Amino acid sequence: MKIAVAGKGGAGKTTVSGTIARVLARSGRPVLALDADSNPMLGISLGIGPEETERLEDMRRALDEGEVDHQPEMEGLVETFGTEAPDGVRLVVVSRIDNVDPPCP
Amino acid sequence: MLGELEGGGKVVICDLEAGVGSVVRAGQADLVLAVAEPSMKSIDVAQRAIASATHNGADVLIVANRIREDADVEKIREALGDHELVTVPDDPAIARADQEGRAPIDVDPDSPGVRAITALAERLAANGHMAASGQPAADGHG
Repeated sequence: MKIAVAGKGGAGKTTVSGTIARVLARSGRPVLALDADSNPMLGISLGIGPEETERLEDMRRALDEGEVDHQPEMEGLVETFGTEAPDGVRLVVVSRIDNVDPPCP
Repeated sequence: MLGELEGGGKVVICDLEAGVGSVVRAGQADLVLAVAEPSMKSIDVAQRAIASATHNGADVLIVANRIREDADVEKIREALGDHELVTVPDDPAIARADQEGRAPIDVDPDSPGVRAITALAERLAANGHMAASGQPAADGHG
C-alpha cells in the first residue's frame, strides 16, 4: 500500500503522516515513512526528536545539492539517509531531485 | 528504486513536499490523503492535489484538519466535492507536541485530534486501502 499525504504547508500533512505511520506499525505492518517535504519535519511527528530530525535535514540538504547520492539498495538507503523511529517505523529522507523520477512513493 | 519497498503487506507513506510539490506528486500513490484546513489557500492546494490524484487513478480521502465547527467541514466539503472525508478536530495537544518537538501520539494519544487520525489509520490497517466510495462518509459527527 502506497499512501501519499498532500497539502499546503502547515495544513497538518506531517502530523497526519507521522501518526498514521506509527499506528500502522503498531498493527504489525512494516512501515517505511518517506519525508519528501522541503522542510523535512516528519521525524518530529514520528517521535525521533529534534536532534535526529536535524541530522536528517542536513542529509536532505546534501542530497538536494548533489553532494551525496541515494543508494539503490534498501538497506543502504535506510542506513545512510534514514533512521529507526518508535514502533519500528523506518524513516528515510527523499531528495527533491529524486522526486521527479522515480516517484515518491 | 522504491519499487522494491512494496508488497508483503508493507506500507509506504510519503509526506509530500508542501504546496505545488504535493500537487505534482499526488498521482503516484494508491491512496492520496488530501489534508486541508479551513482556509482558502489550503483548500486550493488540496483541490489541485485531488485533481492530480484522480487523473492518475489514485483513491482520494480528504482529511479535514483543525476543525472547530461544522461550518469548517462544510466549507471544505463544498469546495473539494464528493470524496470520503475524515474530520480531525482542532487540538491543542497537537500544537503542544509541535512546540516540544515530540510526536503527538506520544504527547497525548487520547486527545481528540490524535484519536481521529489514529482511527483513520486503524481503518487503513483493516482495509488495505479504502476505495473512494463517491458517497459522503461519516465525518465523526454521527
